[in-house]
Amino acid sequence: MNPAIILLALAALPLGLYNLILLHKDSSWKHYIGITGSAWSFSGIFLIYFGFPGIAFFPVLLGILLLGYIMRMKVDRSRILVGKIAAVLSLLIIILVGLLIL
Amino acid sequence: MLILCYSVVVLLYFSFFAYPVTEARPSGWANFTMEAKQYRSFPNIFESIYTNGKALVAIATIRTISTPSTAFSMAFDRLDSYAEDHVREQYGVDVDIVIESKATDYPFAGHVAIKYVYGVFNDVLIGYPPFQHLERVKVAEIGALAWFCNVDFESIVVFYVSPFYFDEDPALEALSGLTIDLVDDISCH
Ligand SMILES: [Zn+2]
Repeated sequence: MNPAIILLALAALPLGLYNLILLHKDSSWKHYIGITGSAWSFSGIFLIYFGFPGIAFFPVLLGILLLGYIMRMKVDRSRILVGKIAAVLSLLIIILVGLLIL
Repeated sequence: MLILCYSVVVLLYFSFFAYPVTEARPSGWANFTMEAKQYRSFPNIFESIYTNGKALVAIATIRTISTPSTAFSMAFDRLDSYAEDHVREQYGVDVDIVIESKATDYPFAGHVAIKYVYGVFNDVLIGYPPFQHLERVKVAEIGALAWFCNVDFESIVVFYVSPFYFDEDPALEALSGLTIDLVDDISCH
């Protein structure tokens, strides 16, 4: 396997590990969002290697984050969370529109 | 702590895009002159140009996660201008370049490529005096192929220029065959 692919896969890990440490500290379920996103990013690279369309990589990742944030919205309606949802949602729309038009 | 995490992520992404590509190339190019260079280091792009008189094959290998991407489009436009310049230099400045076909599912080098074929048209004197006349003839063909290599995480763009009207010149006809063989022989992983 090309070392570049390993580098790309490793890039998915730090935020997953960070959330894993937080989870260990306060066992809040919200850290699972980051962990799931990280797990997808890591395994997604290998899926692409085996032929999965790379174009679906970021939409799925953003979808995971969006779903997580929306679930968090139900418990805590903070402004920061609304901001995060708006940011991820607009990014997702831009990417999807970009993919469909390009 | 979070900042450290982000720095590591950015660093890893950076090193992925800077990591040298394994350039896509044919196994042999005995009849062609080859000129190869690292065109960019971020994202990493390698370019090789094979020329033989009226024929040209240009290959760019780009470090990408998928196609299309900005770097991919840039490399595509760059090779496109190489091919057009070569055509105008070798076949005349007044040629018309017309798109002839477009396929998005062309099997190539173990992948699925997009393939464009352009006809290059020019006025050619046909027949022998005193019965000569000018005719618009397809004198050359430009082909463009592009695909993503999921084994090496690279996008490859290939442009070729091949003579198409031979005017009973066997050397020119042979050159066309050599060009198509060279293109068919390109592998990326
Ligand atoms: Zn390949």
